[in-house]
Amino acid sequence: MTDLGFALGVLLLCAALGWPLAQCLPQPALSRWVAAPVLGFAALALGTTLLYRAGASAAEAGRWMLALGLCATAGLLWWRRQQGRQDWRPPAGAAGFLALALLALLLCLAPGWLGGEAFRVFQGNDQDQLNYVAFSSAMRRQVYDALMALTPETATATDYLLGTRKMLLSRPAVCIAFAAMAEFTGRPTPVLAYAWVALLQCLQLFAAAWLLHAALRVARWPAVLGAAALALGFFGQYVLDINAWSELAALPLGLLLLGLLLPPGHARLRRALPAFTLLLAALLHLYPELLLAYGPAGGLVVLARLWRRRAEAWRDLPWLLLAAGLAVLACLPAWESSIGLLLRQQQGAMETAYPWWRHFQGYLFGRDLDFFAATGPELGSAQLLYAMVSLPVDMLAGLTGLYFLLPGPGLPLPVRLAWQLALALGMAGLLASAARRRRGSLPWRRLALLAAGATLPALVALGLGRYWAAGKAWSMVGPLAFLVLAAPALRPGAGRWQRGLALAYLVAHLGLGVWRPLAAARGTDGAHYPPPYPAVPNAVVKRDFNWAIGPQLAALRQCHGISLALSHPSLERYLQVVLTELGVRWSSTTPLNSDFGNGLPLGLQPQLPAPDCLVTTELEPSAAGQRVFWLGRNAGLADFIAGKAAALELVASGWSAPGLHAAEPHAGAWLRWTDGDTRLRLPMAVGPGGQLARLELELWPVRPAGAWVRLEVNGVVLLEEALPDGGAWHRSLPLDELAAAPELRLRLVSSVFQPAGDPRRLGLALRSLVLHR
Amino acid sequence: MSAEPSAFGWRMPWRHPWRDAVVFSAIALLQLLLWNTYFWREIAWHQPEYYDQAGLLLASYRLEQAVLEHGLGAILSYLRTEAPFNGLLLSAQGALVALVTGGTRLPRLAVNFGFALLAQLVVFRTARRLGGGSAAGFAALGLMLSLASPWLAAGGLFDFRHDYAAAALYGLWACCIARSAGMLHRRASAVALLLALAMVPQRMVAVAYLLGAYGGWAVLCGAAALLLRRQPALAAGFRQRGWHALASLVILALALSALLLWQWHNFHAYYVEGHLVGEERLARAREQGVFTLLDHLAYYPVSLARIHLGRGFWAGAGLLLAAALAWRRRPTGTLLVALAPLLLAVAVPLVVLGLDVSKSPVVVGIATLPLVLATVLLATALARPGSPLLRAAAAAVLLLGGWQALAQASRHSEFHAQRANLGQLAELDAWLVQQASARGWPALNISVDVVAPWFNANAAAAAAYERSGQLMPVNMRLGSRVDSMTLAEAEAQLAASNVLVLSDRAGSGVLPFDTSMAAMAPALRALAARDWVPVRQLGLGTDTLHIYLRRQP
Repeated sequence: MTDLGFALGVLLLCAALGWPLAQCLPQPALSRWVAAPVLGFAALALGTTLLYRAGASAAEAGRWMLALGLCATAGLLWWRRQQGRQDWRPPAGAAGFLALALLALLLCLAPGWLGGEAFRVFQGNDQDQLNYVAFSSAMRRQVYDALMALTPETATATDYLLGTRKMLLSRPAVCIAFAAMAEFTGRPTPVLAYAWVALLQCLQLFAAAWLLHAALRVARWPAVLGAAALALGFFGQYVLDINAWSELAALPLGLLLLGLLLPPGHARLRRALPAFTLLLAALLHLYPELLLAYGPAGGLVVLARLWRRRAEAWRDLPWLLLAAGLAVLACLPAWESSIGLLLRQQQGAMETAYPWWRHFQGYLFGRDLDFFAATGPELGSAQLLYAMVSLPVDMLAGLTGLYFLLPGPGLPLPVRLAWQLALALGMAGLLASAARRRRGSLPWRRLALLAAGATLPALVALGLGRYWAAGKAWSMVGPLAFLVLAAPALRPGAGRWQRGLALAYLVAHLGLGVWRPLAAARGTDGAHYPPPYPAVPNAVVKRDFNWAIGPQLAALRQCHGISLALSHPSLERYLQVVLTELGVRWSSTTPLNSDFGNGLPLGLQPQLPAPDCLVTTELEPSAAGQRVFWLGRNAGLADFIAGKAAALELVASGWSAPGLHAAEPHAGAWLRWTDGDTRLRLPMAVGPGGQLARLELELWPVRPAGAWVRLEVNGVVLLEEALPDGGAWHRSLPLDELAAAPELRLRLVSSVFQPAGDPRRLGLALRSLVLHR
Repeated sequence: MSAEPSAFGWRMPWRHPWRDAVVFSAIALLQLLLWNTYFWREIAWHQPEYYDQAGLLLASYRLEQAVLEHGLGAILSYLRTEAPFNGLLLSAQGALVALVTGGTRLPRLAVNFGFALLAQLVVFRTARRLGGGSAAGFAALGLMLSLASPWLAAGGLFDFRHDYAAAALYGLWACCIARSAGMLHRRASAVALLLALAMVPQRMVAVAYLLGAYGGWAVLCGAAALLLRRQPALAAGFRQRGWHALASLVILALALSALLLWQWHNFHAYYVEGHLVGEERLARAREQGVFTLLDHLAYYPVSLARIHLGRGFWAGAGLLLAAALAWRRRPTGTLLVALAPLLLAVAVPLVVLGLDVSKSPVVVGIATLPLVLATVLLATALARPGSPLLRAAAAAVLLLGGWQALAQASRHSEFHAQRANLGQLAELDAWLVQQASARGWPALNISVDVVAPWFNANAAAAAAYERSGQLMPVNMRLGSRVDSMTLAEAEAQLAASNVLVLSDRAGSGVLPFDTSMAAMAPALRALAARDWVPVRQLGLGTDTLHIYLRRQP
């Protein structure tokens, strides 16, 4: 209910802020109601950002915006009643639309409820998501000047304060607006984060519905259907899943802005000037990069209107320039974080070829072939032929958002081939029917021109080999391409087959929107869709750690001091945010770093003198009486430490230790390579379950001739011998002499070798390493 | 819809054949001057690079000598017994030109230049005719001048190998197909078939492209005839095109079968063992930086777009298409009929080459001329007839092409940076031949422990011939193949050699041969110290070559 209440509250505030502004949009009246939340969100983002920049706290900024929204709406209503006008009443269809919007909002929120905390915490981009959450948290607690005054020497309270300072120069609007809204609830920022992004996803519904109904003159219900398919379907989900908050927040504004450039019947742009200015200014603060794609698109449409020598277009031009000028003026207080950033990002995108595209654009390469794996001698012309057929279909399906209709790898090759060909045929038909020009469909042709114009930067980036930038640009073009492809289902005059194909396309996207909550509920370890879709950054990050902090919040709040000993920087960041917002004293045993281990080293914090709680994923000894919060997924280890389990198998478990490579399947079991010098530390050799009795070590018969092994436990050599050239090897070693030791330090040393084609240095092939009490 | 391709697009009211001839001739003359200057400045002074070029040049030199000794009948004998299966004619064409003009490498490279000029002329005339005016022809000429492929060190104008001539012939064939209205007209289709048949001995692999294009076009025409059966006139046109394509396909397949029956052994050795099975194909792929499936699929499209077409072409094509779109008309179905076979002619080589695991940087240049023609025809068909924008764009493209050609010809080749090393190698080649003569060896049998472009037997023999006129047989023993070998095999090769070259960088490459050499390097050094006489050391960049001659008994 927290999620729903928060999302609905923000939506209502946005509607209140936007409704007066929406009156400047052209008729029909319903479209004004539909556009109000998007315009209101633009006002909220712009207003909170400028207020925060002027020195107000996030809470004060939020209150000011609430007051402004209430006053503006109430004032307008009062004035209209005074005038005796009736157009303030909800128009026909408003109730139905609101019901559908609520349903869409529920569908956006549902994955967070059904997928659990592991799903909610982040999706495909842990660092971006946790940055947005942490920066929002910091902005919620500190004012602009305080954050800007931080230096590497003073920003050591958490590892994200310095990043927050940097974010204030890089489009912070989405964080500031979130911080301002979160202050109304009093709930921790991480708890509200999913509801916030779900709300942003849902806002696309309003923007697209306005675009279709008001600008493209689509009938009410088809417009809502198309808008829902866009917001809930692939393109809405993808931007959320790459945790691109700013882009997610800006897309609805961008769609509305471009919609204003389409010929809106007899209405003129001049009338919509306030809305246009507001949207452009908010866009520049929220995500100016969107203009790299939508700028050329809008420019092309303006040129096309001028080319046709429409008197109306020429008359609109000065107003357009005026709106752009006013929007630029609104950026002056925060130039560096808006237009300055736009220039920096444009330069960066062209100059640097980031390798991230293999993860974030992996969905363009289908589901059944691994195009990035090294090929071996088995590669032949037949495989190349299938790949050659598959790749264009995969790419086209990815670009049109039909990735999830592609066949998976488990199917036989002929079935996959037939499937791909059928899909290719369908997509070819879809493209062909979308490309047909119809008389009297000028707005639709302009929409196609918008899509073409927005594609140009993506093509330039592609040509320059900037694949990440090209893929990101496509995530912005996607909604426009979607509307172009769905057009035959929405506009009159399309043939039966064309309409059928486009309708199937819409239904496929809508179906994906309905499927998402179920996928989140079914997914393991918080991953809702399998790779290569970027649902999680890598398999380890959600598999090995327990992100469900919610059930432990009450217990954590009772701690007087908490020591953090976490092995993953994202988990560390998340805990820092949570504990800071809980108001609990804490210190980290890991030196702070401003950017997940890759930024500025900030040094080790002063450690709390006697923390009574330890939050850890490490095999570290805890002080006597410390309460341990184990965030590793390996419950077996936690149980063993707590004395609940009599044996502990260390090979197949997911934890990491120095000198131990990741577990890999081998002959139906697990194999874990050492690197020749493996060190393990276990807290409480003598735990609640009694002292350790013995250690069992078994090796796979995979080693070069002349290999040897030495095992030391707490500095005592328990074993040192040459290994046989082949065959399995097993030893059981008593640990009775360690009865009085406070911890177990185990060191496994061996000969090493370098296998051909494997960059790792390998020592022993562990089959099992078991500790018994 | 009219079946005549000249009925669509961009009809220019003005057409001046004499003026066109003068302008074209002036451009051709300028190219000749640039070509000649470039050759003497950048190419003539160093040994022929690349294995293929060195082998073909040496074969051509030998053939020339054979003709001088035995008469023109030696050419037939050469074609029957010695000519490389993957391209029978080039060495003979080079030798014939040299017999007329005299000289060594220049007349051989003139074959490439001649084919290039012929292709330019035919593409120019085709574009002018189908585009309805001179501007289309000059736009095509501008795009051809903008291409990067003529200036590539490997596979370009100055590399004596089959690919450049084959690309020109393929372009001529594409022109015939375009002029036949997608094989509607029998006579033009027959000329195209003759060209296709001529291309088989020029470049064997091209037959796969031609069969694919004919087959694909026959299928497309059949499908179109079926889909348009309610429009009898159109369906009849497609049926006729389909039959022509099918007949061409059958005749070409028969000719290929005859050739395969004659040369089956060579075909199997070169294409089956070299490209379809065996470890060499993977090694060749890795040598080109191709490791993943995506690398394999992207290699030829990227090679075509970036290496062979180049930025100049894309700028010109973009300019033409933008001008056409800015003042466009609704394209007709005729556009597809004219463009489809040209696009097939571009796509089929990409597919055929992409199916080969082995990768080569030179072969995909064959698709450039059909793409040039397709670009101009597309712009023609999209533009409003008489569009002044398009005419201006055509002029700009011609200027851009001229500038590109001048800019390329005015720069040093990539060999210039290695001038010192290449000069030393040329001197070494001559010295080795001199040593062989002095010792009375009938041939130079050279073993090298690296597979490197800077040293191979044919290059040495060819370079020595170019300088001294003496044609010493030179055979490569160790180092002639890229696959792995045992020490015993290496010793056997050394036993048959009289020159041994050991490199300090042996074993550092990615080929299986390099791995073998890395393992046996100490043994080879010991052998060299025992059985061979060190005679010279040569510093080549960061590498040092140790040259040994066999110890005289």
